[in-house]
Amino acid sequence: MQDNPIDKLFEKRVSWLADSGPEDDIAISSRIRLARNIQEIPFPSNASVDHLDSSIAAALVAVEKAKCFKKFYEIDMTKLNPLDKQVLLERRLISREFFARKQNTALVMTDDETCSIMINEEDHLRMQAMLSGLRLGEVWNIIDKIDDRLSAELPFAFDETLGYLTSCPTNVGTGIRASVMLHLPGLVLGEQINAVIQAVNKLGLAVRGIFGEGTESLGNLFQISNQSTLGEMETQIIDRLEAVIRQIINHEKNSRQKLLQNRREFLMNHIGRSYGLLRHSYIISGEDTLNSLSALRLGVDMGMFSTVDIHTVNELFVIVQPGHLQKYAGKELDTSERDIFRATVIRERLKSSEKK
Amino acid sequence: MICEICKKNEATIHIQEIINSQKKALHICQDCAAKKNAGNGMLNGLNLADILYNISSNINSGDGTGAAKPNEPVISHVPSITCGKCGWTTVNFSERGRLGCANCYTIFRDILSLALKNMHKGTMHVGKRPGAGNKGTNTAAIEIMKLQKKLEEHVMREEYEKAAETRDLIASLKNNNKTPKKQVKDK
Repeated sequence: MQDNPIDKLFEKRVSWLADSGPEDDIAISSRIRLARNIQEIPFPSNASVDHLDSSIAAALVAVEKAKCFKKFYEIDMTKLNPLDKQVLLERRLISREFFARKQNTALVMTDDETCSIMINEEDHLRMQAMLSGLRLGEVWNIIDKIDDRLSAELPFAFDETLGYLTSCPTNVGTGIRASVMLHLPGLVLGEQINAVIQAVNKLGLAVRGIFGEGTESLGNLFQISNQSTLGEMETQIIDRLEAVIRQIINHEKNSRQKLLQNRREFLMNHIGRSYGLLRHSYIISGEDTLNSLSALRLGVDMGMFSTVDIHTVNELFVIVQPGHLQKYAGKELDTSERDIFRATVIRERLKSSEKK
Repeated sequence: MICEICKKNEATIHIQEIINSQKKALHICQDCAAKKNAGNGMLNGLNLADILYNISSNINSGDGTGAAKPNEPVISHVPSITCGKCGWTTVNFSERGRLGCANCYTIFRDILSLALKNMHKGTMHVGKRPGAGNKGTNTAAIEIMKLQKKLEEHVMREEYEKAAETRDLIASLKNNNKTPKKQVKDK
Protein backbone atom coordinates (compact mmCIF):
# COMPACT_ATOMS: atom_id res chain seq x y z
CA MET A 1 0.00 0.00 0.00
CA GLN A 2 1.18 3.47 -0.83
CA ASP A 3 1.99 5.75 2.07
CA ASN A 4 -0.53 8.48 2.63
CA PRO A 5 1.13 11.60 1.17
CA ILE A 6 -0.88 13.79 3.52
CA ASP A 7 0.79 12.07 6.47
CA LYS A 8 4.18 12.77 4.92
CA LEU A 9 3.29 16.40 4.40
CA PHE A 10 2.25 16.56 7.94
CA GLU A 11 5.63 15.57 9.28
CA LYS A 12 7.15 18.66 7.69
CA ARG A 13 6.78 22.36 8.28
CA VAL A 14 4.71 24.34 5.82
CA SER A 15 7.39 25.56 3.43
CA TRP A 16 5.73 28.82 2.42
CA LEU A 17 5.44 29.68 6.10
CA ALA A 18 8.65 28.28 7.50
CA ASP A 19 11.02 29.79 4.93
CA SER A 20 12.08 33.40 4.93
CA GLY A 21 11.29 35.65 2.02
CA PRO A 22 11.69 39.35 1.23
CA GLU A 23 9.33 41.62 3.19
CA ASP A 24 7.99 38.55 4.95
CA ASP A 25 7.18 40.44 8.12
CA ILE A 26 4.18 41.86 6.24
CA ALA A 27 3.94 39.88 3.00
CA ILE A 28 3.51 36.30 4.17
CA SER A 29 3.31 34.53 0.82
CA SER A 30 3.02 35.06 -2.93
CA ARG A 31 0.97 32.79 -5.12
CA ILE A 32 0.11 32.59 -8.81
CA ARG A 33 -2.37 30.23 -10.36
CA LEU A 34 -3.12 29.61 -14.03
CA ALA A 35 -6.43 28.26 -15.35
CA ARG A 36 -6.20 25.96 -18.37
CA ASN A 37 -8.64 23.69 -20.18
CA ILE A 38 -8.11 20.81 -22.55
CA GLN A 39 -9.47 21.14 -26.10
CA GLU A 40 -12.58 19.14 -27.06
CA ILE A 41 -13.55 18.27 -23.49
CA PRO A 42 -16.43 20.26 -21.94
CA PHE A 43 -15.54 22.30 -18.83
CA PRO A 44 -15.81 20.25 -15.60
CA SER A 45 -19.19 21.63 -14.43
CA ASN A 46 -20.73 20.52 -17.75
CA ALA A 47 -18.76 17.30 -18.20
CA SER A 48 -19.90 13.68 -18.01
CA VAL A 49 -18.11 11.18 -15.77
CA ASP A 50 -16.26 9.89 -18.84
CA HIS A 51 -15.15 13.38 -19.73
CA LEU A 52 -13.94 14.01 -16.20
CA ASP A 53 -12.02 10.76 -16.19
CA SER A 54 -10.38 11.56 -19.50
CA SER A 55 -9.27 15.01 -18.38
CA ILE A 56 -7.71 13.46 -15.27
CA ALA A 57 -6.00 10.74 -17.31
CA ALA A 58 -4.73 13.22 -19.91
CA ALA A 59 -3.45 15.64 -17.29
CA LEU A 60 -1.66 12.96 -15.27
CA VAL A 61 0.05 11.51 -18.34
CA ALA A 62 1.11 15.02 -19.38
CA VAL A 63 2.55 15.77 -15.94
CA GLU A 64 4.62 12.56 -16.10
CA LYS A 65 5.80 13.11 -19.66
CA ALA A 66 6.52 16.79 -19.26
CA LYS A 67 8.75 16.07 -16.24
CA CYS A 68 7.52 19.22 -14.54
CA PHE A 69 8.45 18.11 -11.06
CA LYS A 70 11.24 16.08 -9.52
CA LYS A 71 9.26 14.68 -6.66
CA PHE A 72 5.51 14.83 -6.59
CA TYR A 73 2.38 13.06 -5.44
CA GLU A 74 -0.72 12.16 -7.42
CA ILE A 75 -3.79 12.06 -5.26
CA ASP A 76 -7.19 10.68 -6.20
CA MET A 77 -9.39 13.14 -4.33
CA THR A 78 -12.42 10.84 -4.37
CA LYS A 79 -10.50 8.34 -2.23
CA LEU A 80 -9.24 10.89 0.26
CA ASN A 81 -10.96 11.13 3.64
CA PRO A 82 -12.55 14.48 4.57
CA LEU A 83 -9.96 15.22 7.24
CA ASP A 84 -7.03 14.88 4.83
CA LYS A 85 -8.89 17.09 2.36
CA GLN A 86 -9.31 19.65 5.11
CA VAL A 87 -5.57 19.57 5.78
CA LEU A 88 -4.85 20.27 2.09
CA LEU A 89 -7.27 23.18 2.18
CA GLU A 90 -5.72 24.65 5.31
CA ARG A 91 -2.26 24.40 3.73
CA ARG A 92 -3.68 26.27 0.72
CA LEU A 93 -2.80 23.47 -1.68
CA ILE A 94 -6.40 23.22 -2.82
CA SER A 95 -9.21 25.76 -3.11
CA ARG A 96 -12.44 25.83 -1.17
CA GLU A 97 -14.31 25.09 -4.39
CA PHE A 98 -12.12 22.05 -5.09
CA PHE A 99 -12.59 20.86 -1.52
CA ALA A 100 -16.38 20.96 -1.95
CA ARG A 101 -16.48 19.37 -5.40
CA LYS A 102 -18.26 16.04 -5.52
CA GLN A 103 -17.23 15.02 -9.03
CA ASN A 104 -14.10 13.09 -9.99
CA THR A 105 -11.10 15.23 -9.15
CA ALA A 106 -7.39 14.65 -8.72
CA LEU A 107 -4.48 16.59 -7.30
CA VAL A 108 -0.83 16.72 -8.22
CA MET A 109 1.49 18.38 -5.75
CA THR A 110 5.21 18.62 -5.21
CA ASP A 111 6.59 17.21 -1.98
CA ASP A 112 7.82 20.67 -0.93
CA GLU A 113 4.28 22.05 -1.40
CA THR A 114 5.51 24.80 -3.71
CA CYS A 115 3.40 23.65 -6.64
CA SER A 116 0.07 21.95 -7.04
CA ILE A 117 -2.26 21.21 -9.91
CA MET A 118 -5.95 20.77 -9.24
CA ILE A 119 -7.57 18.66 -11.94
CA ASN A 120 -11.28 19.22 -12.60
CA GLU A 121 -11.75 22.19 -10.37
CA GLU A 122 -13.81 24.83 -12.20
CA ASP A 123 -11.37 24.39 -15.08
CA HIS A 124 -9.64 21.18 -16.14
CA LEU A 125 -6.33 22.40 -14.76
CA ARG A 126 -5.67 24.94 -12.07
CA MET A 127 -1.95 25.05 -11.48
CA GLN A 128 -0.42 27.10 -8.72
CA ALA A 129 2.99 27.98 -7.36
CA MET A 130 3.54 29.56 -3.97
CA LEU A 131 6.56 30.96 -2.13
CA SER A 132 7.05 32.80 1.14
CA GLY A 133 7.42 36.59 1.18
CA LEU A 134 6.89 39.01 -1.69
CA ARG A 135 8.30 37.06 -4.63
CA LEU A 136 5.78 37.30 -7.45
CA GLY A 137 8.49 37.41 -10.13
CA GLU A 138 10.07 34.17 -8.92
CA VAL A 139 6.69 32.51 -8.58
CA TRP A 140 5.81 33.54 -12.12
CA ASN A 141 9.03 31.97 -13.46
CA ILE A 142 8.16 28.68 -11.78
CA ILE A 143 4.57 28.46 -12.98
CA ASP A 144 5.38 29.82 -16.44
CA LYS A 145 7.84 26.95 -16.99
CA ILE A 146 5.40 24.33 -15.77
CA ASP A 147 2.74 25.74 -18.08
CA ASP A 148 5.17 25.66 -21.03
CA ARG A 149 6.07 22.06 -20.38
CA LEU A 150 2.48 20.97 -19.95
CA SER A 151 1.34 22.80 -23.06
CA ALA A 152 3.84 20.77 -25.09
CA GLU A 153 1.94 17.65 -23.99
CA LEU A 154 -1.64 18.88 -23.68
CA PRO A 155 -3.71 20.75 -26.30
CA PHE A 156 -5.01 23.70 -24.28
CA ALA A 157 -8.21 25.46 -25.33
CA PHE A 158 -6.96 28.72 -26.81
CA ASP A 159 -8.47 31.42 -29.01
CA GLU A 160 -6.45 33.93 -31.03
CA THR A 161 -8.41 36.90 -29.69
CA LEU A 162 -9.58 35.74 -26.28
CA GLY A 163 -6.53 33.73 -25.24
CA TYR A 164 -6.92 30.76 -22.89
CA LEU A 165 -10.60 29.83 -22.64
CA THR A 166 -11.90 29.28 -19.12
CA SER A 167 -15.16 28.13 -17.61
CA CYS A 168 -15.76 31.56 -16.10
CA PRO A 169 -15.32 34.60 -18.38
CA THR A 170 -13.69 36.46 -15.48
CA ASN A 171 -10.58 34.29 -15.98
CA VAL A 172 -10.37 34.27 -19.78
CA GLY A 173 -7.22 35.45 -21.56
CA THR A 174 -4.19 34.81 -19.40
CA GLY A 175 -6.12 32.72 -16.87
CA ILE A 176 -3.86 34.22 -14.26
CA ARG A 177 -4.66 35.02 -10.66
CA ALA A 178 -1.71 36.43 -8.77
CA SER A 179 -2.15 37.06 -5.08
CA VAL A 180 -0.16 38.06 -2.03
CA MET A 181 -1.14 37.34 1.54
CA LEU A 182 -0.57 40.37 3.74
CA HIS A 183 -0.60 40.74 7.50
CA LEU A 184 -1.96 44.21 8.21
CA PRO A 185 -2.54 44.66 11.94
CA GLY A 186 -1.19 48.23 11.91
CA LEU A 187 -3.71 49.40 9.36
CA VAL A 188 -6.53 47.61 11.21
CA LEU A 189 -5.58 49.01 14.65
CA GLY A 190 -5.02 52.44 13.11
CA GLU A 191 -8.49 52.18 11.51
CA GLN A 192 -7.13 52.87 8.04
CA ILE A 193 -7.83 49.48 6.59
CA ASN A 194 -11.16 50.40 4.97
CA ALA A 195 -9.62 53.35 3.16
CA VAL A 196 -6.86 51.09 1.88
CA ILE A 197 -9.32 48.41 0.74
CA GLN A 198 -11.40 51.00 -1.11
CA ALA A 199 -8.35 52.44 -2.82
CA VAL A 200 -7.15 48.99 -3.85
CA ASN A 201 -10.61 48.12 -5.21
CA LYS A 202 -10.60 51.28 -7.27
CA LEU A 203 -7.41 50.07 -8.92
CA GLY A 204 -9.25 46.98 -10.09
CA LEU A 205 -7.68 44.64 -7.54
CA ALA A 206 -9.57 42.42 -5.11
CA VAL A 207 -9.09 42.29 -1.34
CA ARG A 208 -10.30 39.31 0.64
CA GLY A 209 -9.94 38.21 4.22
CA ILE A 210 -8.09 34.89 4.48
CA PHE A 211 -10.26 33.76 7.37
CA GLY A 212 -13.89 34.72 7.85
CA GLU A 213 -16.41 35.93 5.33
CA GLY A 214 -16.57 39.19 3.41
CA THR A 215 -14.65 42.19 4.63
CA GLU A 216 -14.36 40.95 8.21
CA SER A 217 -10.98 39.34 8.50
CA LEU A 218 -9.82 37.28 11.44
CA GLY A 219 -6.13 37.46 12.17
CA ASN A 220 -5.79 40.63 10.06
CA LEU A 221 -4.70 38.52 7.11
CA PHE A 222 -5.70 39.80 3.69
CA GLN A 223 -5.24 38.50 0.20
CA ILE A 224 -4.76 41.05 -2.58
CA SER A 225 -5.18 39.75 -6.13
CA ASN A 226 -5.69 40.88 -9.70
CA GLN A 227 -9.19 40.78 -11.19
CA SER A 228 -8.61 41.52 -14.85
CA THR A 229 -7.07 38.68 -16.87
CA LEU A 230 -7.54 39.91 -20.43
CA GLY A 231 -5.88 42.72 -22.35
CA GLU A 232 -2.58 42.77 -20.48
CA MET A 233 0.48 40.57 -20.46
CA GLU A 234 1.03 38.33 -17.43
CA THR A 235 4.08 40.32 -16.39
CA GLN A 236 2.15 43.60 -16.64
CA ILE A 237 -0.57 42.20 -14.39
CA ILE A 238 2.03 40.99 -11.90
CA ASP A 239 4.01 44.25 -11.93
CA ARG A 240 0.89 46.31 -11.36
CA LEU A 241 -0.11 44.10 -8.42
CA GLU A 242 3.37 44.21 -6.95
CA ALA A 243 3.53 48.01 -7.16
CA VAL A 244 0.29 48.28 -5.20
CA ILE A 245 1.44 45.68 -2.66
CA ARG A 246 4.63 47.67 -2.02
CA GLN A 247 2.58 50.75 -1.32
CA ILE A 248 0.35 48.87 1.09
CA ILE A 249 3.43 47.52 2.87
CA ASN A 250 4.70 51.08 3.28
CA HIS A 251 1.36 52.23 4.67
CA GLU A 252 1.41 49.32 7.11
CA LYS A 253 4.92 50.22 8.26
CA ASN A 254 3.94 53.87 8.74
CA SER A 255 0.84 52.91 10.62
CA ARG A 256 2.84 50.69 12.99
CA GLN A 257 5.32 53.50 13.58
CA LYS A 258 2.54 55.95 14.36
CA LEU A 259 0.94 53.54 16.81
CA LEU A 260 4.26 53.10 18.56
CA GLN A 261 4.79 56.86 18.81
CA ASN A 262 1.31 58.03 19.68
CA ARG A 263 -0.40 55.08 21.36
CA ARG A 264 2.46 53.12 22.84
CA GLU A 265 0.62 51.76 25.91
CA PHE A 266 -2.42 50.78 23.85
CA LEU A 267 -0.22 48.84 21.47
CA MET A 268 1.90 47.16 24.18
CA ASN A 269 -1.23 46.25 26.11
CA HIS A 270 -2.84 44.72 23.05
CA ILE A 271 0.22 42.62 22.25
CA GLY A 272 0.99 41.66 25.85
CA ARG A 273 -2.55 40.52 26.60
CA SER A 274 -2.72 38.50 23.42
CA TYR A 275 0.49 36.71 24.32
CA GLY A 276 -0.90 36.01 27.78
CA LEU A 277 -4.06 34.57 26.31
CA LEU A 278 -2.14 32.26 23.96
CA ARG A 279 0.49 31.25 26.53
CA HIS A 280 -1.87 30.52 29.40
CA SER A 281 -5.30 29.53 28.05
CA TYR A 282 -6.68 26.05 28.58
CA ILE A 283 -9.66 26.63 26.31
CA ILE A 284 -9.39 28.93 23.29
CA SER A 285 -11.66 29.44 20.29
CA GLY A 286 -10.42 29.65 16.72
CA GLU A 287 -11.42 33.30 16.49
CA ASP A 288 -9.62 34.34 19.69
CA THR A 289 -6.58 32.40 18.54
CA LEU A 290 -6.32 34.04 15.13
CA ASN A 291 -6.72 37.54 16.53
CA SER A 292 -4.22 36.92 19.33
CA LEU A 293 -1.74 35.33 16.93
CA SER A 294 -1.97 38.44 14.78
CA ALA A 295 -1.07 40.62 17.78
CA LEU A 296 1.77 38.27 18.74
CA ARG A 297 3.09 38.37 15.18
CA LEU A 298 3.04 42.16 15.31
CA GLY A 299 4.95 42.06 18.59
CA VAL A 300 7.56 39.70 17.13
CA ASP A 301 7.94 41.91 14.03
CA MET A 302 8.51 44.93 16.26
CA GLY A 303 11.18 43.12 18.25
CA MET A 304 9.22 42.84 21.49
CA PHE A 305 9.80 39.12 21.92
CA SER A 306 13.22 37.59 21.95
CA THR A 307 11.94 34.08 22.63
CA VAL A 308 9.34 33.66 19.91
CA ASP A 309 10.36 33.62 16.25
CA ILE A 310 8.17 34.61 13.35
CA HIS A 311 8.06 31.13 11.80
CA THR A 312 6.63 29.62 14.97
CA VAL A 313 3.83 32.17 14.83
CA ASN A 314 3.34 31.61 11.10
CA GLU A 315 3.01 27.89 11.59
CA LEU A 316 0.59 28.32 14.46
CA PHE A 317 -1.74 30.16 12.07
CA VAL A 318 -2.03 26.91 10.12
CA ILE A 319 -1.94 24.24 12.80
CA VAL A 320 -4.63 25.81 15.00
CA GLN A 321 -7.18 25.19 12.26
CA PRO A 322 -9.67 22.32 12.70
CA GLY A 323 -8.20 19.88 10.16
CA HIS A 324 -4.63 20.17 11.41
CA LEU A 325 -5.70 19.94 15.06
CA GLN A 326 -7.60 16.73 14.45
CA LYS A 327 -4.77 15.30 12.40
CA TYR A 328 -2.41 16.06 15.29
CA ALA A 329 -4.78 14.53 17.79
CA GLY A 330 -5.12 11.50 15.55
CA LYS A 331 -8.88 11.47 16.00
CA GLU A 332 -12.02 13.48 15.34
CA LEU A 333 -12.68 16.28 17.80
CA ASP A 334 -15.88 18.28 18.23
CA THR A 335 -15.78 22.05 18.65
CA SER A 336 -15.32 22.12 22.42
CA GLU A 337 -12.72 19.34 22.34
CA ARG A 338 -10.88 21.29 19.67
CA ASP A 339 -10.86 24.45 21.80
CA ILE A 340 -9.15 22.52 24.59
CA PHE A 341 -6.69 20.73 22.31
CA ARG A 342 -5.90 23.96 20.46
CA ALA A 343 -4.98 25.67 23.74
CA THR A 344 -2.70 22.74 24.61
CA VAL A 345 -0.90 22.80 21.27
CA ILE A 346 -0.34 26.57 21.44
CA ARG A 347 0.89 26.48 25.06
CA GLU A 348 3.37 23.75 24.25
CA ARG A 349 4.68 25.45 21.12
CA LEU A 350 5.21 28.75 22.90
CA LYS A 351 6.74 27.03 25.92
CA SER A 352 9.20 25.07 23.81
CA SER A 353 10.29 28.18 21.93
CA GLU A 354 11.03 29.86 25.29
CA LYS A 355 13.48 27.10 26.16
CA LYS A 356 15.51 27.54 22.99
CA MET B 1 -34.96 49.88 0.74
CA ILE B 2 -36.91 47.11 -0.98
CA CYS B 3 -35.37 43.96 -2.44
CA GLU B 4 -34.57 44.37 -6.13
CA ILE B 5 -35.49 40.80 -6.95
CA CYS B 6 -38.78 39.99 -5.21
CA LYS B 7 -39.68 43.66 -4.70
CA LYS B 8 -41.49 42.70 -1.48
CA ASN B 9 -39.12 42.25 1.43
CA GLU B 10 -36.78 44.78 2.96
CA ALA B 11 -33.34 44.55 1.35
CA THR B 12 -30.84 43.58 4.01
CA ILE B 13 -27.98 42.39 1.83
CA HIS B 14 -26.07 44.96 -0.17
CA ILE B 15 -23.52 43.81 -2.66
CA GLN B 16 -21.15 46.29 -4.21
CA GLU B 17 -18.64 45.71 -6.88
CA ILE B 18 -16.27 48.14 -8.49
CA ILE B 19 -15.00 47.31 -11.92
CA ASN B 20 -12.91 49.83 -13.87
CA SER B 21 -13.99 52.41 -11.28
CA GLN B 22 -17.65 51.85 -12.15
CA LYS B 23 -19.70 51.01 -9.12
CA LYS B 24 -22.40 48.35 -9.35
CA ALA B 25 -24.76 47.77 -6.46
CA LEU B 26 -27.33 45.07 -5.80
CA HIS B 27 -29.73 45.31 -2.87
CA ILE B 28 -31.61 42.13 -2.04
CA CYS B 29 -33.38 40.40 0.85
CA GLN B 30 -32.20 37.38 2.84
CA ASP B 31 -34.61 34.99 1.06
CA CYS B 32 -33.60 35.95 -2.45
CA ALA B 33 -29.93 35.85 -1.52
CA ALA B 34 -30.39 32.32 -0.17
CA LYS B 35 -32.20 31.27 -3.34
CA LYS B 36 -29.51 32.72 -5.55
CA ASN B 37 -26.81 31.26 -3.40
CA ALA B 38 -28.29 27.78 -3.51
CA GLY B 39 -28.26 28.01 -7.28
CA ASN B 40 -24.59 28.61 -7.78
CA GLY B 41 -22.91 27.92 -4.50
CA MET B 42 -21.07 31.16 -4.11
CA LEU B 43 -21.60 34.86 -4.07
CA ASN B 44 -18.87 35.38 -6.59
CA GLY B 45 -20.91 33.77 -9.34
CA LEU B 46 -23.94 35.78 -8.30
CA ASN B 47 -22.26 39.11 -8.97
CA LEU B 48 -21.08 37.99 -12.35
CA ALA B 49 -24.45 36.62 -13.36
CA ASP B 50 -26.04 39.90 -12.42
CA ILE B 51 -23.63 41.90 -14.49
CA LEU B 52 -24.52 39.66 -17.38
CA TYR B 53 -28.25 40.08 -16.74
CA ASN B 54 -28.07 43.83 -16.97
CA ILE B 55 -25.86 43.80 -19.96
CA SER B 56 -27.91 41.33 -21.88
CA SER B 57 -31.00 43.41 -21.17
CA ASN B 58 -29.24 46.33 -22.79
CA ILE B 59 -28.54 44.27 -25.85
CA ASN B 60 -32.15 43.31 -25.91
CA SER B 61 -33.67 46.77 -25.82
CA GLY B 62 -31.57 47.60 -28.85
CA ASP B 63 -32.59 44.76 -31.13
CA GLY B 64 -36.28 45.51 -31.29
CA THR B 65 -37.58 42.57 -29.27
CA GLY B 66 -39.15 45.00 -26.82
CA ALA B 67 -37.85 47.56 -24.40
CA ALA B 68 -36.41 45.78 -21.41
CA LYS B 69 -36.12 47.67 -18.15
CA PRO B 70 -32.65 47.49 -16.66
CA ASN B 71 -33.72 45.71 -13.48
CA GLU B 72 -35.84 42.98 -14.97
CA PRO B 73 -34.35 39.54 -15.14
CA VAL B 74 -33.41 38.94 -18.70
CA ILE B 75 -33.63 35.24 -19.26
CA SER B 76 -37.21 35.64 -20.46
CA HIS B 77 -36.30 38.19 -23.15
CA VAL B 78 -33.13 36.78 -24.58
CA PRO B 79 -33.74 34.33 -27.40
CA SER B 80 -32.50 31.06 -26.00
CA ILE B 81 -29.29 29.86 -27.62
CA THR B 82 -27.88 26.37 -27.15
CA CYS B 83 -24.28 25.37 -27.74
CA GLY B 84 -24.28 22.64 -30.37
CA LYS B 85 -21.15 21.05 -28.92
CA CYS B 86 -21.97 20.78 -25.24
CA GLY B 87 -25.66 21.65 -24.89
CA TRP B 88 -25.08 24.67 -22.65
CA THR B 89 -27.98 27.18 -22.86
CA THR B 90 -28.45 30.90 -22.31
CA VAL B 91 -30.33 30.00 -19.12
CA ASN B 92 -27.40 27.89 -17.84
CA PHE B 93 -25.10 30.77 -18.60
CA SER B 94 -27.24 33.45 -16.95
CA GLU B 95 -27.85 31.35 -13.84
CA ARG B 96 -24.32 30.19 -13.23
CA GLY B 97 -22.20 32.81 -14.95
CA ARG B 98 -20.09 29.99 -16.35
CA LEU B 99 -19.71 28.52 -19.83
CA GLY B 100 -20.05 24.86 -20.83
CA CYS B 101 -17.10 24.40 -23.17
CA ALA B 102 -14.57 26.27 -25.30
CA ASN B 103 -17.05 26.46 -28.18
CA CYS B 104 -19.49 28.42 -25.97
CA TYR B 105 -17.23 31.44 -26.37
CA THR B 106 -18.24 31.53 -30.04
CA ILE B 107 -21.90 30.70 -29.44
CA PHE B 108 -22.46 33.29 -26.69
CA ARG B 109 -20.15 35.87 -28.28
CA ASP B 110 -22.74 38.66 -28.33
CA ILE B 111 -23.68 38.38 -24.67
CA LEU B 112 -20.04 38.00 -23.73
CA SER B 113 -18.42 40.80 -25.65
CA LEU B 114 -19.89 43.62 -23.55
CA ALA B 115 -19.50 41.71 -20.32
CA LEU B 116 -15.83 41.05 -21.03
CA LYS B 117 -15.25 44.71 -21.72
CA ASN B 118 -16.54 45.56 -18.25
CA MET B 119 -14.61 42.80 -16.51
CA HIS B 120 -11.18 43.24 -18.01
CA LYS B 121 -8.62 45.88 -18.94
CA GLY B 122 -8.89 45.00 -22.61
CA THR B 123 -10.74 42.77 -25.01
CA MET B 124 -7.79 41.14 -26.73
CA HIS B 125 -5.37 38.57 -25.35
CA VAL B 126 -1.77 39.79 -25.37
CA GLY B 127 -0.23 37.29 -22.98
CA LYS B 128 1.58 34.03 -23.57
CA ARG B 129 0.46 31.38 -26.03
CA PRO B 130 0.39 27.61 -25.85
CA GLY B 131 3.28 25.53 -27.13
CA ALA B 132 6.73 25.27 -25.58
CA GLY B 133 9.16 27.70 -27.16
CA ASN B 134 6.31 29.80 -28.47
CA LYS B 135 7.02 32.57 -26.03
CA GLY B 136 6.32 35.42 -28.41
CA THR B 137 3.40 37.54 -27.39
CA ASN B 138 0.84 38.68 -29.84
CA THR B 139 2.70 41.81 -30.90
CA ALA B 140 0.09 42.87 -33.44
CA ALA B 141 -2.53 42.67 -30.72
CA ILE B 142 -0.45 44.86 -28.41
CA GLU B 143 -0.05 47.39 -31.22
CA ILE B 144 -3.76 47.34 -31.92
CA MET B 145 -4.53 47.93 -28.26
CA LYS B 146 -2.19 50.87 -28.09
CA LEU B 147 -3.80 52.34 -31.19
CA GLN B 148 -7.25 51.73 -29.79
CA LYS B 149 -6.35 53.80 -26.74
CA LYS B 150 -4.98 56.50 -29.00
CA LEU B 151 -8.19 56.42 -31.00
CA GLU B 152 -10.26 56.97 -27.88
CA GLU B 153 -8.06 59.91 -26.92
CA HIS B 154 -8.42 61.47 -30.36
CA VAL B 155 -12.18 61.09 -30.23
CA MET B 156 -12.25 62.63 -26.76
CA ARG B 157 -10.26 65.62 -27.99
CA GLU B 158 -12.48 65.77 -31.07
CA GLU B 159 -9.47 65.29 -33.36
CA TYR B 160 -11.52 63.43 -35.91
CA GLU B 161 -9.00 63.41 -38.74
CA LYS B 162 -6.35 61.82 -36.57
CA ALA B 163 -8.97 59.45 -35.21
CA ALA B 164 -9.83 58.32 -38.72
CA GLU B 165 -6.16 57.70 -39.51
CA THR B 166 -5.76 55.65 -36.37
CA ARG B 167 -8.93 53.73 -37.14
CA ASP B 168 -7.63 52.82 -40.61
CA LEU B 169 -4.32 51.76 -39.15
CA ILE B 170 -6.13 49.46 -36.71
CA ALA B 171 -8.19 47.99 -39.54
CA SER B 172 -5.11 47.27 -41.65
CA LEU B 173 -3.33 45.66 -38.70
CA LYS B 174 -6.36 43.49 -38.02
CA ASN B 175 -6.44 42.33 -41.63
CA ASN B 176 -2.73 41.63 -41.75
CA ASN B 177 -3.04 39.68 -38.58
CA LYS B 178 -5.60 37.35 -40.02
CA THR B 179 -3.48 35.62 -42.62
CA PRO B 180 -0.56 34.48 -40.47
CA LYS B 181 -2.95 33.43 -37.73
CA LYS B 182 -4.62 30.86 -39.97
CA GLN B 183 -1.30 29.44 -40.99
CA VAL B 184 -0.38 28.89 -37.39
CA LYS B 185 -3.66 27.09 -36.82
CA ASP B 186 -3.18 24.78 -39.78
CA LYS B 187 0.12 23.43 -38.53
